[in-house]
Amino acid sequence: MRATAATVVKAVDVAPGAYNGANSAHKDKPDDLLYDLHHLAAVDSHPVDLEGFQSDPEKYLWESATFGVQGIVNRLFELPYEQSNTGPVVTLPGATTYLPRAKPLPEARQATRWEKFAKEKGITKKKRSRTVWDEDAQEWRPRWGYKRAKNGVEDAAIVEVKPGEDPNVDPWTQAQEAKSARVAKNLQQQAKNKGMGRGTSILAPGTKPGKRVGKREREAMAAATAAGPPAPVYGLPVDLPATKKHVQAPGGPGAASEEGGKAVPKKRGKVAGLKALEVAQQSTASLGKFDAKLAGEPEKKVKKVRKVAPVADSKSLVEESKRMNSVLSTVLRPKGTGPGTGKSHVNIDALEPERAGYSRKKGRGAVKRKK
Amino acid sequence: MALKSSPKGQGKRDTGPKAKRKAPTPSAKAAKVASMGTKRVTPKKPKARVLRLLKAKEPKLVEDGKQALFLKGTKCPQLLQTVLRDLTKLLKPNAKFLSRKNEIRPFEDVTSLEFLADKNDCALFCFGSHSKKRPQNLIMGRTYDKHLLDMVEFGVSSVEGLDAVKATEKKRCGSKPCLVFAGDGWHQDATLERIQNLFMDFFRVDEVNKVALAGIDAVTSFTAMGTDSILVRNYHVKFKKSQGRVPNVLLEAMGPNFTLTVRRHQLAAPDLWRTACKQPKGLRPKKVKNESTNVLGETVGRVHVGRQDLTSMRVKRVKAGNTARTRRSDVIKPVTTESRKPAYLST
Repeated sequence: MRATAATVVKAVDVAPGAYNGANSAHKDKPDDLLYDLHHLAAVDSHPVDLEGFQSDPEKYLWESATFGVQGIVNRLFELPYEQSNTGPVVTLPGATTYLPRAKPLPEARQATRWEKFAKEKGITKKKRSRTVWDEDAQEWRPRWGYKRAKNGVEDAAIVEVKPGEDPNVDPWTQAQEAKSARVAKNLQQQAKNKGMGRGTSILAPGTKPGKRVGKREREAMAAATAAGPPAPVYGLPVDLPATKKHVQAPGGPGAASEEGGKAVPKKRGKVAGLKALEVAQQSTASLGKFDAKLAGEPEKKVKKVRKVAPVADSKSLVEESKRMNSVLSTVLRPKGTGPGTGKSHVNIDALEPERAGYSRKKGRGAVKRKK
Repeated sequence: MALKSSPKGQGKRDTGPKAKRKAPTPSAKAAKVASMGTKRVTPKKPKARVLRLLKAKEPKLVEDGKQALFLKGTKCPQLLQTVLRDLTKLLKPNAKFLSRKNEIRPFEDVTSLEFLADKNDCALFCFGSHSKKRPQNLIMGRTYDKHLLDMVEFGVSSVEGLDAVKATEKKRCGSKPCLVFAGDGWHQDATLERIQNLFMDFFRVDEVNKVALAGIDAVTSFTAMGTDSILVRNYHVKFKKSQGRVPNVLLEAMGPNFTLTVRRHQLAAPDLWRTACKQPKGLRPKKVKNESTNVLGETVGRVHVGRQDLTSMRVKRVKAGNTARTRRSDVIKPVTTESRKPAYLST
């Protein structure tokens, strides 16, 4: 007999209290929250009801949170789901709030030499089985590792000499050498790929995980190269100044042009070249003093830069007084001292009391020995 | 062969303790040269474990949830430490707590913080410190490309730790919490908007496409009181039977609960923000057409058939092998009523 609607007794009618749950609060509140189900988030943009809050803050917050979570759960149960051993598993929709990444987007990697070849030929990757049939043991053994199958030349006690092969060659050494050659070749190919910028740079052997150039750095470098060569340094003018010699503007003398007859500074020639050299030399730190000179080249006049006295403050005043005193002592030095006499007017022992009494081999007050 | 020494110090080399070292014999030197002279032809392959670690740290097209790093300053009072430890517990296993004290002033110099975040492979950090000027200070921030992206400084108050709140059940480790943002400040104030983004990132735990409904057991609610203070509350979520298919939720106070007062902030420049938020093109969800799920949870598909010509439609099914093309037709004798009769009936 089919149960009719009249005969079914709903539990909710018997004990409504158990089903009221937490949602009695905020019942009248319209569900106009913004949901980002991908992050299981709900945003309630209504201002906080200060009256309700102040009457019982914790209860208010609890009710507000309950309302939000109920909304999230309601929407989650509407999503497509699949059954699993932990119950229904829903597929979340895409995110509406975009969160920033932790690392920059990976660069598209170029295909390696092998990958390119495989794509052309249509070769797909086939996974190797872990176990291999071992003929001697007559059972399936691992291909590599502990208790591996002994199928190769390395494990064979006796190896037959195939017709056409040299019988005096040691097959085990040969196999070992061939293997190490294969391994070496593979490593070289990987390094070659890495050198050509193919594949993932980090996985290629022979390289340290170097400094990754982040996007900002790359952009800065790109901007720098796009900006062109850097502006000329002060002291090296881009445009050479006008030399004494001038030339007529292009068009020849008497040409009926706008610029005809106007003198244009000559940038080539001996005079301009020398001027350019002078400028170039002066732009070095030593002002061209130590530059290799040709035979017959005159000495360069170096302008001595006069030191400007610092602004008077407590420290500089002390230094100034020291300077003045040293000048005074030189001027008022006793007769028989100074340059040419061999005796210094300065009392070294007074200045350097720690060294007083000792013969000074070098520095101030050192007696120069004739070698 | 004598030891190589500078011409100036020649005299000194002969005396003193180092002079006792004998000069290498010619054979020893030759051997050393021989070993040094052959350059490695094949590049050395790094260990597989090293490669795996490096590969894990490489940027991925679709990123997993960010790891959070919790640090203490030179002064970190007990209250603040409970907050840091409780947050670590909430975010485990995606959180790391460094027990040592660090002399870092993030708003003055971020380099050491960036270094630590990079070293521990954590994109989120939470730094707790205390000073007279900034008591119970919490700086939450994140990095992008090994550099600081943004950070916000909060003052923590009215703390109720996980241990302080007595609850029968607390959330499971590693479960994805629901996040509820209440208050109008979240969309009115620009700083709070970023803070909302930061909190969503911080408390995200894992980046997932699917979630088990039975696994939803926690919610963190952030209520903005004006634009200055944020009330953070954590609840444990339980499902209760309801009339319909969707259960009612029952929240239980779990802790930690605290109040955050917004202090200083250093937000990302617009161009950096845009660069950081760039998503790969492949991530955009593909539109699935002609598929829908009905009330019973079944997948219903729609098949579009072209216009059918009902007049010349073949209704009768033709048996296989009876077409003119099959070879059997040459062998099979034409079917007649006589041949069908059994032998004893034929006349």
